Amino acid sequence: MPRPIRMPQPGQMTEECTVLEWFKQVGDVVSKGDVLFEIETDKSNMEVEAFDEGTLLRIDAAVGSTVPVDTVVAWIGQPGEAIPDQAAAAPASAAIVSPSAGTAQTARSPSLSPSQIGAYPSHAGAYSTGRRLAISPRASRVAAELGVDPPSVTGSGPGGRIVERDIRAATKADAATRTEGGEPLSRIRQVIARRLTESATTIPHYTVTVAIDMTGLVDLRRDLKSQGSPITVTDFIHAATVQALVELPLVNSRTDGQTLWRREQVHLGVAVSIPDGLLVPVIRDAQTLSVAGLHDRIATLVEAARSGSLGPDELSGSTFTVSNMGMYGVEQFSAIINPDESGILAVSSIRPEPAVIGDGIAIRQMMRATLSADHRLVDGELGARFLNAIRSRLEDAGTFRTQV
Amino acid sequence: GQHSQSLESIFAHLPGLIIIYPSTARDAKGLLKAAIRSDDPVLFCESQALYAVRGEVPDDGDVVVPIGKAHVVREGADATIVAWGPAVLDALSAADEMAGDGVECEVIDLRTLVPLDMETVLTSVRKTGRCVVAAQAVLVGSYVNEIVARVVNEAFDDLDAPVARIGAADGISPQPESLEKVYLPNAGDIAAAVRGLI
Repeated sequence: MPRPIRMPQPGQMTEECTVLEWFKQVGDVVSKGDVLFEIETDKSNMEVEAFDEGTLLRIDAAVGSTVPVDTVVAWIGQPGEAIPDQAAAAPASAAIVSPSAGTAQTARSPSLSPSQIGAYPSHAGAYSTGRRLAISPRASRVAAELGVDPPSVTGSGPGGRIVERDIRAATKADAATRTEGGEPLSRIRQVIARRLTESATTIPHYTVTVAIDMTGLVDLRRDLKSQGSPITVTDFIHAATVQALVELPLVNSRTDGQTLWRREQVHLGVAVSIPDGLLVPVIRDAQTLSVAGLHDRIATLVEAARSGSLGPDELSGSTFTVSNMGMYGVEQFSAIINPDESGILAVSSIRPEPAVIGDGIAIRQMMRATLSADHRLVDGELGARFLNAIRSRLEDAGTFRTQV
Repeated sequence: GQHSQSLESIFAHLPGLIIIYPSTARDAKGLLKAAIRSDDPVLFCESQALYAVRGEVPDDGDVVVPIGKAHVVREGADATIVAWGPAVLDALSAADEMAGDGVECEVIDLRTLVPLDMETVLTSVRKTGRCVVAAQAVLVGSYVNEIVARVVNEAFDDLDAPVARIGAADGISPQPESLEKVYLPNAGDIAAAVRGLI
């Protein structure tokens, strides 16, 4: 098998040398130590000896040619041997291998591949507090393995550093509070959860309650029923609310804390309870409807809500919502404002109560109504005025006698 | 004095040499046999401070201790102390002291500095998450730092705390014994280092 003869590297910085003369010709026998050729380096001339024995088979670097160090300049072997493809003669490395290198271990540490470095999420600097999270690498790794969120953990290490034991303590605490056998919430429940959480956390709520004497309207309702009219007390409550919103449009409007969107059209949301949760169908332009009109519209919407056939237009765009729990015998409650609204009216049961009328006590049909309002837009005074606007319309049964 | 100026770090820096540094009579005998039988150049370090320390040696006269294999002298799950030479005895004292505080230290006697048995060291650090590397050599430029660097690079995600280093003060070993005691690291320094990692 022919062996290559390479241009040596006489100096550390030498990159190429020039062949000055060949002392052996193709076909000559070469012994170890024979001078093969002479080269001119950047510093001086040098004779190159043969380290191999055999017959010089081929010269690749002719006299006068300048070749880079380590390039093959000639081939030596047995006469008649075929010289391999130049491409196969890859440059040899510059290291001199000593016989005992195998036993004397080189102190080379295995380098960390880029994919290994930072394999675990770095929590430092990722949080809005603007401070790097002090956590040890081991704790980071264990947190990733156990699904623990490091910023939620208090560190007990030096300087408040989160260390492994803190992560493990957190998982124990989690496991203790978690109940067994959880199941996913239905889609509608998840939507409710999301929307109400958004309201509860972004709208500053306050509540104000009035007690409304519904005696007159209860009587009116009875009269209407006996005449075959389907109109209920709830319809009066809706109508009174719509009228109060027209009177005090700020309660019908909305803000994000920086901008005010004034709304004059009242699109009344009516909370309807359905088996799996809650829907709020919307009566658009409620201010254009009479009490009877409101009644018909609500009846249609409630029917559609219960049969699950409400369209998206009917479920969005409300400017104010009424939530009625009167049918459940509750004394008073406060509701959570729907997103994009500034208030919600929580209507409780009508119950006979003793009340002061003039100088005496009488039994009256009393109902409490609680307004939850967005304090960014609706101050206490406005909220109270709004409730009183509703109350005055409901307590003066005469208002509605003429509207039906 | 001169004999407590530890120079094994300089030796370890020269490629091709095997550096051995036993801390017990048994290892000294077994490793010297191994060194003689090896065809490689070996620098066999003996600490004068350990000459007076007695220890059990096997009855079988031909026990050879393998070059390049560290020895876990004491097992523990809370912290790893890697040491050689006289520092091994200090490490064991420190481990006893820490055990009183409920911290169990694993003590590894490297025995051979070159080639380095990182496998034993890393297995231990992955278990404990905390590491102290101790030797009597001046800390600046000490071979201690080679092991610290390797531990940080190869077991980063297993570390619950930085890696602590123990060594002598940056100076020439003093002649008077009283000053030499101050100059050299001791068991208390190692225990304090472990405490700082918890």
